[in-house]
Amino acid sequence: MVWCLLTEKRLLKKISYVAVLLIVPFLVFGLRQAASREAGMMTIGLYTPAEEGSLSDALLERFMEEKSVLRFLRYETEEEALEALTGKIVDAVWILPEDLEGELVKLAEKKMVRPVARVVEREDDVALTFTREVLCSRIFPELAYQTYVEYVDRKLDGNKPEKEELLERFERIQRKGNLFRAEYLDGTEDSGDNYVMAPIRGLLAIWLVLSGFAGILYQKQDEINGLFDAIPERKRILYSFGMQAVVLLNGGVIYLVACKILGVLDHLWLELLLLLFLLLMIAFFCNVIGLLVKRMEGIGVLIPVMTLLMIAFCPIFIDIRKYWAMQSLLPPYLYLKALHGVGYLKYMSIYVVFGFFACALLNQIKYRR
Amino acid sequence: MRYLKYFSVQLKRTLRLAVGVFPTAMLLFACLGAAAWFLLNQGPLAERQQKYQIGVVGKIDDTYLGFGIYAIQTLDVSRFMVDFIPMTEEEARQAFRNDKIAAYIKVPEDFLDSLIYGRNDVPISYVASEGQKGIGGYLMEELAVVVSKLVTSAQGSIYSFQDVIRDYGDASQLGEWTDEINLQLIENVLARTKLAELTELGLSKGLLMRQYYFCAVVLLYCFLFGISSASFFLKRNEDLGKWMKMRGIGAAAQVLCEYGVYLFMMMACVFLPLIGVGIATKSFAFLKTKVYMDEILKALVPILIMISAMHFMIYETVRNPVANLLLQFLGVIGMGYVSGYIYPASFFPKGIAFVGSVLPTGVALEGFSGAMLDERSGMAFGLGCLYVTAFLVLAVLMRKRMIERDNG
Amino acid sequence: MKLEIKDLKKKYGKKLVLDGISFSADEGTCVGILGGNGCGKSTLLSILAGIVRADSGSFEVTGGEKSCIGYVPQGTPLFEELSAKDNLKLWYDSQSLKKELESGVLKLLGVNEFLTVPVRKMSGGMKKRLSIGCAVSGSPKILLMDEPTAALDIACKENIYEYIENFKKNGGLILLATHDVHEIELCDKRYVIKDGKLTEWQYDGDLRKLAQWIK
Repeated sequence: MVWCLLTEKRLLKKISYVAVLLIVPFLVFGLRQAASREAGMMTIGLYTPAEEGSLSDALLERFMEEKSVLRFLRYETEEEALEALTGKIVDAVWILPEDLEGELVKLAEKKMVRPVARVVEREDDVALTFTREVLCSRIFPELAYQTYVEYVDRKLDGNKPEKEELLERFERIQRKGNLFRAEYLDGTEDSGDNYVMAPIRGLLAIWLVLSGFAGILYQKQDEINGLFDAIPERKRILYSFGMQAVVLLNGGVIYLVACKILGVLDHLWLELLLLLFLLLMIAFFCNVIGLLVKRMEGIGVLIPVMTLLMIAFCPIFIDIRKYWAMQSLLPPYLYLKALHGVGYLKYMSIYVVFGFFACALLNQIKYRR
Repeated sequence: MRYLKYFSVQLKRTLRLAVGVFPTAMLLFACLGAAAWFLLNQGPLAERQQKYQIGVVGKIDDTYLGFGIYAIQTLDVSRFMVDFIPMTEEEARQAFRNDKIAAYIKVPEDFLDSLIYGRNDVPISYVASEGQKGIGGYLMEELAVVVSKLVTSAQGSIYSFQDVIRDYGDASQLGEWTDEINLQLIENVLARTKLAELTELGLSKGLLMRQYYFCAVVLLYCFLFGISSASFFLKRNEDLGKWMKMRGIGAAAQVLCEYGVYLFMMMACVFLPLIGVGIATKSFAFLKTKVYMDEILKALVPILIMISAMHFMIYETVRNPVANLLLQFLGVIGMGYVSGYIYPASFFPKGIAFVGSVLPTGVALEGFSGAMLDERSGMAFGLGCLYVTAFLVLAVLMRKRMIERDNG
Repeated sequence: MKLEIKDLKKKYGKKLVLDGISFSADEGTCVGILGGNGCGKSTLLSILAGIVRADSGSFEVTGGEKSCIGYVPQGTPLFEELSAKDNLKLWYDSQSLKKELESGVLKLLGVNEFLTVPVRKMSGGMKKRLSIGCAVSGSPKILLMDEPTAALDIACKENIYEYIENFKKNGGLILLATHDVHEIELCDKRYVIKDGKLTEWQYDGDLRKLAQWIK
């Protein structure tokens, strides 16, 4: 206990260490503030020669207001929009006609589908094909409406409802909202984070692993400086865990602060439990590596390799599910899965138990020689 | 003369250190390259057309839903991309966990009733991610909105029509007319992409995804090289710096000589593996770029000058090896993220994108990707020069401070 | 040749390390600079070596140049990855290196014995002898030595004492910052730095008085 307290005192005297700790919440805060602004995976330029209040104009306004992974920029003239396209400010330009309503009426009458909007791109690809689906899905409801109006007109003789009544019925009856609901494997609903901020939690988990490695490096430095010379060899691992505990607890506190800033601490007790397991997993993971790799330089080499592996194979930016056995060795993998699947707690428990015995065994082997 | 001697001694020292630094760097290069190759060729970012397997859980033998799925499978443009596979929920969960399916949808028992009667209060759930949602998850969401709009608007059209006919027309004809409008709307849905006419200007849209990530991976390697080359910096003798000053080689001369040698080592560790890859892939043929290998390598020279100056500045400023390692890694990954090394920079809001573009990582990406398109960015070059100057000046000041530090 | 130091002052932050140090030293002598840990001995030598600038005051070498000052710092400022020979090549040209190895100061220091050994594999004594060998490459007339025999074995110490005697005999001036008893005895004059001030101390063989004075 005294050792832990002194270790904490030592660490907090290192300005560079404190700076590394404190920088994290500031970065997260800054990123969150900046990420709340408008963003999109692709940017679409919008233009219509139609007047304000027309269907084309209303559609374009809806694009600007609705939440989407696409970002929309509206232009006053077609030339401006096309200039933005050639200048790579936008990825595509959508042009709606002056009389969209009239065009759709004709389509409904003729029972056919032909172009009413123009899409201009520099060069087509899979991603832009997807954006055209978005465009068509927004025009389609208007076509569906005109189809309904056309059918009413065709099938009814004599007494027919007025245009306003047709519109009123359609707007009343057509249900708004999504037919689909995104879920995680455990049945919980997807909260729908901003995609810019979504990976931050995973990156913070990796940062915690790096903190664990930092603890190992400090401990090895102390060994070289002779700090453990008076301590029996087999007991040194306890001091190593003591060092780890201090470093990881510091990191854990900062992690919680950062998560609070991110706004993801909904179920605090569950979060604390999962974080505790994560910290234990990291402690054992780093200690095993510290026991297997003698020199600081060796660990220094492994750190970027491990971190790249975690970025690629933990569900931070992409969710690869092929190599479960290998992925489960990486602490952030099980933790991030457990956030949306409490069943993973059992795997984390197994990891902790296994890690404990692995450390104990390796420690015995190391000091038997 | 003395500076030349110092330079050659540093060179000799570096060649000895390179025995340890080079394999470390190659390991890092191999890891980055393998990760990138995997993601681009095997993983979710693979550009080639692949059919996504989507599990379908629930009763779909109902005529409407079954027909709908059949129509998508055989008639819709998406038939080239998606395969629907009926399965039980347990099978779907296992298959999803084992990556046999990309996602699965759960159709609740009363979904169809809710749809037919217009309540729409029983949604179809879809599971597309297990942990953190990736980009694919966000695209799935957008796709879900697309499908929702198509279905609800068609539904609204049919029910509104039925509603009007009940009040104004002959209700005995309703069944037949409903089928007619239904079929018309299905036809319209399947032909929906014809609503937009595409014109391609035939201009390059910028880098292809593989070119973009090639640039990002190479630059990530260059930035992370600072960690691989730790022994170059950490094994320096502080007393030596003081002594050199006394013998007429001041802080500036020391830093510039060492920097020159470090730059040389970095270039060797970057160019050698890249040349190897270039030769093995016939001058980076997989990039499909019009630019040749020598142009690609030439473009890296000013970038390496900047990055090596940055490494120097970091090591002079933070001498504690552990804090240095953490800071470097945080810095590189953090800067790389906002500069577009993971998500393209265009994904970010304007503010973040601007900051990312002026950071050293952003300047490097702008310069290197510009070279890939045979375009040069004056702004990136200017900023790069500024960074080199600032980093080296700071490094000299830190060295001076270290030399003059009180030690009794 | 004479080294004259006039009113040197140096402050680090709020701490006044040297507060008007003045003394002079003649050639052919060994002057001891004594004092407690952190009193400013190394700072004084660093100023004279030109590594650190004094806040005020000056020093002169009458009958010689400031460039004839050599400095052996407390640590071992050597390239760990390189051999003794490579380290020496930085300071000696090939002719003078050969000459010194065959019959000069490097032979006296016994550097020949470990010429091709990488520095990281050397013992403390070897490193210290090599450091001295590098420091005297310009044939300095004044040699500043900061605890040259700290943590060395007796044989190495004797080697260095012999070198110091020899240097003195050849008309050189040595300023020796030290805690070592034998080194104190080697000195012709002894000064003590305390609270930034320099006082000459008359050595009568009783080191306990010195210890009390420093306290």
